[in-house]
Amino acid sequence: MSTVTLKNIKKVYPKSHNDNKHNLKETAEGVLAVDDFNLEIKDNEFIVLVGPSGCGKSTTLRMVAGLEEITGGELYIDDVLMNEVAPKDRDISMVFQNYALYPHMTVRQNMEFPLKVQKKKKEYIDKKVEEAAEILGITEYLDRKPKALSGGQKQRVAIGRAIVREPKVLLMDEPLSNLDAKLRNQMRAEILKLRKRIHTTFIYVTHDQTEAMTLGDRIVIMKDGVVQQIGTPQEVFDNPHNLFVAGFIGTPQMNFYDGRLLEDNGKYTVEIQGMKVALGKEKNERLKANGVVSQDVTVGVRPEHIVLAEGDNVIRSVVDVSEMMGSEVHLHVTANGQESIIIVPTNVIRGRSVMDSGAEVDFSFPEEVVHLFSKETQNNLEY
Amino acid sequence: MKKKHNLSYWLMFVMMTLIAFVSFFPFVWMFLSSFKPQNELLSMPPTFFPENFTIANYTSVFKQMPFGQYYINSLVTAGLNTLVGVISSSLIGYIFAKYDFPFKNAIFLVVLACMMIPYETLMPTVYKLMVGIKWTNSYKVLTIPYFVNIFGIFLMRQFYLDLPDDYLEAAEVDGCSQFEIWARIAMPMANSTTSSLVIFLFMASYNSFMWPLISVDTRKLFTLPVGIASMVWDRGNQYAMLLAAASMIIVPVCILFAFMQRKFIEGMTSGGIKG
Repeated sequence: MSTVTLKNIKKVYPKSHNDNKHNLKETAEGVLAVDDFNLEIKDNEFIVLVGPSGCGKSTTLRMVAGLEEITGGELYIDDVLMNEVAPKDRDISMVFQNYALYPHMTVRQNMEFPLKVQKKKKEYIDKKVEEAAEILGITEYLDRKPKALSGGQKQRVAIGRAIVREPKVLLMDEPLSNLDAKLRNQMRAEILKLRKRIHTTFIYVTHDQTEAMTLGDRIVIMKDGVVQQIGTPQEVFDNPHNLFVAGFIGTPQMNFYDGRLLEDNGKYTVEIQGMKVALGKEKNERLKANGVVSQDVTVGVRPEHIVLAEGDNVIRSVVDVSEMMGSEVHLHVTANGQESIIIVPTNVIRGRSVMDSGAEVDFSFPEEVVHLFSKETQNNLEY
Repeated sequence: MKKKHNLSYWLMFVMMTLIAFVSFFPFVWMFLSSFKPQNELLSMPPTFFPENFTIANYTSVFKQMPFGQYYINSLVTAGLNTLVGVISSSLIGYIFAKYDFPFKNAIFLVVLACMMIPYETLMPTVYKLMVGIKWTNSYKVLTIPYFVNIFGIFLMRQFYLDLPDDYLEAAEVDGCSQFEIWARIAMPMANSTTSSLVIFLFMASYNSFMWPLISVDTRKLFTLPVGIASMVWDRGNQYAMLLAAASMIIVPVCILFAFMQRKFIEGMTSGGIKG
């Protein structure tokens, strides 16, 4: 149980290092892997760092662990400055992507190890290991060697080794990415359960936005070493602050259209491929407050917010392919050369021929689901 | 399903058997002959199994020279040299593989270059050094020069290079000091490579002849190879006795190999490339 504070955290690698990561900013000192990272993690909070590979999320986690030197800024755990403190003295534990179970030790010895290093009493160690094994359902494997375990079991042991110590902060570096899809879903649920049983602060790194959305109290979305947005899963889903976050969070991806925003006496209208959408009161107020003027914009609409429509004020499109997902159908359509995905509940299209390739489909969307991004800065014009 | 063996399998099988026979036969010959009296050993035509079985050769080895002392000298020096050699190779190899320090590659290159120089060319210099610091004729000269082995360093470095850092980082987060990470995690994980190194270092020290021969001249300090050679100088060619002594010499190596055989082969085949 602890708070973690990251203040202006920065990581710079010397220039020769990681030459392939070219979208990172380069400065005089070297390649900027993490830039100006600010975050206050509350006691017992579950924070997820998410982003594409090379975005600096693992580097940030490793800086919290002490495995990576902090180039600039300050890291506090429970208000104690940790920059120069060795990993073993930070009272943290970590779960690695490839488990990193010590192959020459049994499961029990693996789990005992951190407590043995701390020279705890044998009875205490036994009790802790039994407890953790029971929570994770690995009691029957305690005397096996790691190589005799399946991937899911290994990951449980790795988590077990991390929780026996009751660390202040539990760090997880893509713990589920080596598992197959089914097992991953199962383990995700287990981690949620685990979280209820042990009281500690979690920092979890993943590139999978579903994991981030389901596990995190708050998620931190990163790109090229820079934090893009921090918020609850609902917040980042509903109000993405820029084009990157909008495209990264949510599956299938948000649809983007070229559009034009028109301002007339404080009332805003957006025009997309001939369809006009007048914005509502809330959006008008926010845009006005930001002093937004008429301009070309990128309009984002989530596939699930698009509705099939009839009439004149619609976008006309042609179906390329359709994917039957059971309760819903994903229609991939092209409208004026721009592709988009529409999610339609199966019962809505029952008996209609819109699922055939080449079928003509008209669609529109209500004003409240429209996201407006500046062409210039790619930021959301409302925030 | 039974695997069908083709011609190349059988050819290989015959070749292997032949090689095994050629390597093993001299040992059998040595062992059987050590129970023959000298005249039977030199008789024509030779006998394969001893006709006049005797263990006199063995008893006279012990009677005519301090064979027990040689044995102890050899075992103690080889044992110590192996122990220290393995630890130093592992530690130094680990440092070269896992730590960054200025001029690391240049230093490693120098170390490697030392491996290329034949030992014979170094021997006079090392001998002069030992004379200079008055270490000749002591246990020191039989042990300390063996404590650092360049091949060992190279072998262990190759293993540690391929050892994923995650294990070491996990240990670091689990609370280990840098030394503990090596001692409790890295070293045990290098098990099979270390086993090969144990055999290699033990054999190198146990079998070495030149260095103990020139650096020691008191009988009390003779190791087995020098001891056996001295037998020839002292008493001429007593082949039967020589064979008895030789039969006894190979015992520790056989025992060591029997214990470590599986690990040794594992280490030789997967050696540096074990993940």
